[in-house]
Amino acid sequence: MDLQHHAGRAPLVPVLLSDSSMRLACSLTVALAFVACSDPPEPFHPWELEVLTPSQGFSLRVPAFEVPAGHESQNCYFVRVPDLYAGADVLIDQVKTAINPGSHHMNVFRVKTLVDLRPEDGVPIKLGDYDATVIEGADDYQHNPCWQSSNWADWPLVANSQHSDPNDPFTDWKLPANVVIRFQPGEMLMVQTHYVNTSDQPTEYGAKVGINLYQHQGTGPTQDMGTLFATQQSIRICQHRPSVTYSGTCKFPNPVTIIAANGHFHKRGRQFDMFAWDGVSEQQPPEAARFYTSQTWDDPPMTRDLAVTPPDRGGVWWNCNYEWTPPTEVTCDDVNAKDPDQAGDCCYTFGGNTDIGEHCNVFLYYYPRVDSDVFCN
Amino acid sequence: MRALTFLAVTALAAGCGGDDAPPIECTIGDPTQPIELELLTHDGGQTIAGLQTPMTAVPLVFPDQGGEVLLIGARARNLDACAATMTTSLRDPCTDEVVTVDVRPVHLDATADGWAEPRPDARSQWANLAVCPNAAATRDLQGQGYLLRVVLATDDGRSAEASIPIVPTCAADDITCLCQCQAGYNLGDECPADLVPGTPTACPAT
Repeated sequence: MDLQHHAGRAPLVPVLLSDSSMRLACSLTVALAFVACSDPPEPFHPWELEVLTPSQGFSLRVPAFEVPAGHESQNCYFVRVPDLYAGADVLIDQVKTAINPGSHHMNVFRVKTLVDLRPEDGVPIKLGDYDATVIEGADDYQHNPCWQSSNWADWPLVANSQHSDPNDPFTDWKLPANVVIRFQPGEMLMVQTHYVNTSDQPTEYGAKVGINLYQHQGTGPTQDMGTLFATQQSIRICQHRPSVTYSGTCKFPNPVTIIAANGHFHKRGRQFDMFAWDGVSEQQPPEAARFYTSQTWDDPPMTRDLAVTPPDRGGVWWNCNYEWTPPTEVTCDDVNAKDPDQAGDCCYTFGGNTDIGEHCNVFLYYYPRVDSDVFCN
Repeated sequence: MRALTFLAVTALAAGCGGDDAPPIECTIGDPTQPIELELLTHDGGQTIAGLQTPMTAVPLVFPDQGGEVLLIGARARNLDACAATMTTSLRDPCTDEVVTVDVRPVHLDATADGWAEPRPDARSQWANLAVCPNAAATRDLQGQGYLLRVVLATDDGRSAEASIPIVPTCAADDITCLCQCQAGYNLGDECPADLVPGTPTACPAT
């Protein structure tokens, strides 16, 4: 373990010790060594992400913050796309993120209809060089507007990452050749961070997020990337029916090529599958049509470099499979209190808090985007 | 003695688990007979209605996660009502394309007349059929006729199905619903304030 790379650590200082102090120090050293051997902390090297010049793109940096142990944090940051080239559209063909461990998700949306989550209600902050505002949801998942997903139901997804491995906090996503994310200068974005600092998803090194959006350098024709964000409504995982699966569908407005995907659920999630769907059948597509599988809730894979072409007028079919387990941070009484059905069966229902709520969300990327990004509730 | 001890421990465990509620009635009707199935609609408030008349206006409901859904319930008998799976779909009769599918486990409660149906306040036991927005819509998703189909299956491999043409319908003053259910709606579009529900029309000429 490289101590000098640990954020917030005191420097190691050589000192002279008396015999008794030395014996005590040796005892402490042995004790510490025992502790270290029985529970070795994971190595973590604070990440470095280059700061882009305007000709390269733009860099957003969420300042480091702490998440108290046993708590969750969801923040909504609002920032405008900078004008990088005399008012011309900003074309992005690579997204690189660096995210400290403990992150549950980091999503970027384009801000559209304002309901109860408004940029002007936030506190001023800087995301790197750019003026921004933030609404800190803390862990007030029941009331804070940064936790209420209906507030961003018509905000098209831009990019997301659920990856925050201490050994590799980076996600470097290069879009296919001449496929770009198109922004207009001044367009408002919402960067949403969700950190969990619990025993099964600890935030040991503080919360910190960096995003680099690299400007497309080519001069030839491009195709716009589209996004699909879908959620399954009114899910429920109960103690007395512990194994359940929910499935849904979502259609594309035009023929597309799917290039990347990742699924999102919480601690009861066991398997997340996505299939290319013909848009005609009411049954699950055949195995050959499956292009995504995740069996991990806290660091699900983001499958990139896909080239899946659903049938024309088709879309995507997903399955979210769950297995009930007891809560780890709260109690079934807490889970029951949240249950709108008041069934008293420790039923997890839709909600952002990972210990007390569940999700079934699809993040999917395709090209070409013709008229619209896609949201299916 | 071991048996007594086992019983005592079992009883204690059951007590500690808080399982002192009356037993749930799962077998409804005669499971040796075919499953009988009827359909219900829910307006998101207190109104539940049977769905027997073709081209009934079925309310679109704003759910917690945004968009507009149809809440469709299964009323059934001759089945294990605690372990059913409901597959609900909406099909465009003009193109024969499926607009949307929702598959979910459901638990139906016994009713006094010998059937089982979802509790009105238990939205998770109703199909939450996500209708709007739908970027692939070629005609309006509300105020027009679509074919609703429900398949109710049990773990023992039996199933029943029912289908009926319906008219998904926004409330007349719900501009967001009317806007997001229009053909050609693009995600995030600003919605005009002068939208009206409209009435069903014939399929467009191809």
